[in-house]
Amino acid sequence: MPVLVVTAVAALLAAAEPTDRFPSAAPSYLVAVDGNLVWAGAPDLPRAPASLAKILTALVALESPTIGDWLTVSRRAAAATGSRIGLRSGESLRVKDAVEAMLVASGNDACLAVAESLSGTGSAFAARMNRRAAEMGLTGTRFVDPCGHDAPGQHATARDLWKLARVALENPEFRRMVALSSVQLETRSGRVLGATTSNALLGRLPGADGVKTGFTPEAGKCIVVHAVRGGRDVMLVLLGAPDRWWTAAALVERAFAETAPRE
Amino acid sequence: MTVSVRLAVLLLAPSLAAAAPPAVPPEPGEEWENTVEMQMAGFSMPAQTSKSCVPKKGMTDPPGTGKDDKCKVTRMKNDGKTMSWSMVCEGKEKMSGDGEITQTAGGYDGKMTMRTADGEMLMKMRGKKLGTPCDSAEIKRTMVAVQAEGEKNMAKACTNAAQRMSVMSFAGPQAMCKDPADRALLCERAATREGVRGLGAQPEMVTKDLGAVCGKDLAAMKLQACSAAGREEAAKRCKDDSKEALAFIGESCPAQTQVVAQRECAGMSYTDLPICYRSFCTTYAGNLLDKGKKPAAQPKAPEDSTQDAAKKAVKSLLPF
Repeated sequence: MPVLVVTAVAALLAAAEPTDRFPSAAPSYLVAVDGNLVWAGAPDLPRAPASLAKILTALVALESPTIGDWLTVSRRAAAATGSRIGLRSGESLRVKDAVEAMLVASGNDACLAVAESLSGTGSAFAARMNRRAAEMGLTGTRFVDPCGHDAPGQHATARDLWKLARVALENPEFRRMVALSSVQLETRSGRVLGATTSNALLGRLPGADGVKTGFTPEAGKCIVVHAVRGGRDVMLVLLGAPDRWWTAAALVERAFAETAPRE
Repeated sequence: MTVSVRLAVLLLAPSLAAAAPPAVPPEPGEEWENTVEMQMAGFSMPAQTSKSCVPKKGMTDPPGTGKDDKCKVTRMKNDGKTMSWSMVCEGKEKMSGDGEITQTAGGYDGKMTMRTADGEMLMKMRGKKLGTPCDSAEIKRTMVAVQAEGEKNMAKACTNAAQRMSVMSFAGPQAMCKDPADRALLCERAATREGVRGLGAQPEMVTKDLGAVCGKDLAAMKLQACSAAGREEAAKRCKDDSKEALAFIGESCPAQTQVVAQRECAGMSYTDLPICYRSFCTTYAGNLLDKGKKPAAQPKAPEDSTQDAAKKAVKSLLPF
């Protein structure tokens, strides 16, 4: 019986158009339960993605055959601004470790080091990202900076970021990394670096197991959240949320509560 | 004992048993075998045979009267060997009937015709005296026990109804539960958390009668529970045993929710909030979003309040 009810609820959700139930949540947002959109406000509005771009950066890197290789940090990467894990120019680390640092702590130095190691330059890597985005049918998205720094012509939509995150979460390594509350990596020379997650919901919001935070002056506070409870999952995208933590926590709670199967 | 009196015993045993005093002494009787066949609307039902213990001394009431004042014997003739009678029943199930019983060697033979709104029913009766000695009060005793058990179960059900805040069981002239002690329990619980929760789980059209049942204002009873929870929560703040009071406030007490939210949630960053208020404040944030407000509508400090101003100024220019 419960299975039947869950199926019926899912079917109803799938059939219904998402409503803009929480217009004050963010200029663009969406909430999906078990893969079905339930609430959304301007989900196709192009907006600056900030560090949510790193979801695709990480996915492209994790899909690359050179993920297990060592990379050497360039002077440019070591000087990256914003969130950093403290990489130094010239030192080497595993691409996979850098991807982990980019996802967990949103390290821009690690991000640019990965992009450069895989494509030579950030802009070349951004072109690779756009090809992958096109493969996924992300029609409202274009990346210019692989790490999400504000850049002319760079934009994404909440709907595209939702689709992207769903694909990315199917990658076991990506899924493992975004659930980490901290990261510790060792460079080839033995220097150990550590950082904690930028996702304040991890360990605080029951069931939250990733995905990514982002902030730039143009994008505002952004987040993609994934949470699982009792075999059901909620995905939330907030772009430019005035208070992303409270809003994200409240919407995830509400999504689980209001779509709970009833016997 | 005459045939008519024996028949009366057979027909009236249940109603007499129901009216019997709690202590029923043994009464000498003798066993009879009775067979009844019924025909209605052209159909015959299989004969039913049963044994009964009939008092040796017989009964004093004529058949069809018993304790049922809805049925009256309108005619009765008894010539010693054959008895015939007519009866009428009023009320919801109107009925009229005629019957005749004739004594036979070692038993009786008879029939009764009953006319109801559904049609006519013929009942043929045969009785054979087996003569085995028995206690004719046994059936009465059984009925007394059944009735006592029923009353006990009803009392238990009504106490449970009060515990569960089942207002329906106590409201209106047809109320199932009338014991003042149970009603007092219901009304006492209405001013407790469990009671308010129990009422909240029922439709308002059912719970609205509680005021009349208890002779008190429903809102006042709820307020009493909410005020007590508010005082307890304020006194214990974040101690383990205050969780229940906080949860109750969030679920059922809008005024106290406002007080706690202003005190604990407003302006707090999600990350700095004590764990014990996280769920409460998250729900409150959801309620603000519902009303089209921003979740941290009264920010005392920004979410990254732990950072110093200089760091914040730099960071605001950069992605993270």
